[in-house]
Amino acid sequence: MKLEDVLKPQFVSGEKNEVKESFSAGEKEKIVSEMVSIIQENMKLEEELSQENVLNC
Amino acid sequence: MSLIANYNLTKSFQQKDIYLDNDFLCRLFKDDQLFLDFSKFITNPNSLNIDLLTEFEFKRDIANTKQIKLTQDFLSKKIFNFPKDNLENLEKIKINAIILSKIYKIQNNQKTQTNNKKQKGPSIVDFFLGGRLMVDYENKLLITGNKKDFPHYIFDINHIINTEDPLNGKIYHFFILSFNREKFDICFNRLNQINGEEINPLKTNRSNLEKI
Repeated sequence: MKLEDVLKPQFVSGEKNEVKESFSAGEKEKIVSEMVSIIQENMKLEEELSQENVLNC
Repeated sequence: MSLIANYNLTKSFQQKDIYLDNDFLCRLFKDDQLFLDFSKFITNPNSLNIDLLTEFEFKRDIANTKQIKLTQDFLSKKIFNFPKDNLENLEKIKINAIILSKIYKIQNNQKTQTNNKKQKGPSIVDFFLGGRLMVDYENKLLITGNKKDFPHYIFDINHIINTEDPLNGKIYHFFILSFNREKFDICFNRLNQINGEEINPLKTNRSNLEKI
């Protein structure tokens, strides 16, 4: 018995590939701006946390 | 400039399902300039896909409550998509992951015998991500920094993204990969060959490895 008889590679999902929708006017800019704010807050937090770690050492 | 020596990726990304590995997702979350530069190439909502196991990896090491909230806010944006698989699809991904693990095992054994050096294999998350890339492979791309987990004998490098860490100037390389069916078929046929000869591929010796 061949391996492929018991383990057959699966290449087709059976799901329909739909054409992707586009961003509405100004939608992408709004999302990106919100995400940049979140990332900047995270960067600040990471810096604070790393300084706390240094102090704890 | 955070994202450097780059191409215009817009065309490559259009109508593709782009999957992010955890390392690239983490860098996006830690570098506002990289995110801004990278977002220029994204034209469709929900086009950055995050696998369930990648999401787990991304969230598991964050203990600070404020950062957990930031992570949730970040992932909730309409730029990301979290594929919801039915059982049939999950089974397909699992079968592919098992096959990939067998191919990797043999190739790594071969390298180990050549270099006499033990090689650390990819994680389960990487096998499942690789298995997912195989299903509808023509429509999928992966962005990862761990090229060795998606080896050249199965995956192609379409582009390389270079980024500079704004804090320390360190350069990171991320690879945009796609599954190559022809390369996979060669590896899988060899695996079949070994199996047909009733040799356990997990216990290969040098003469058997030479056939691979």
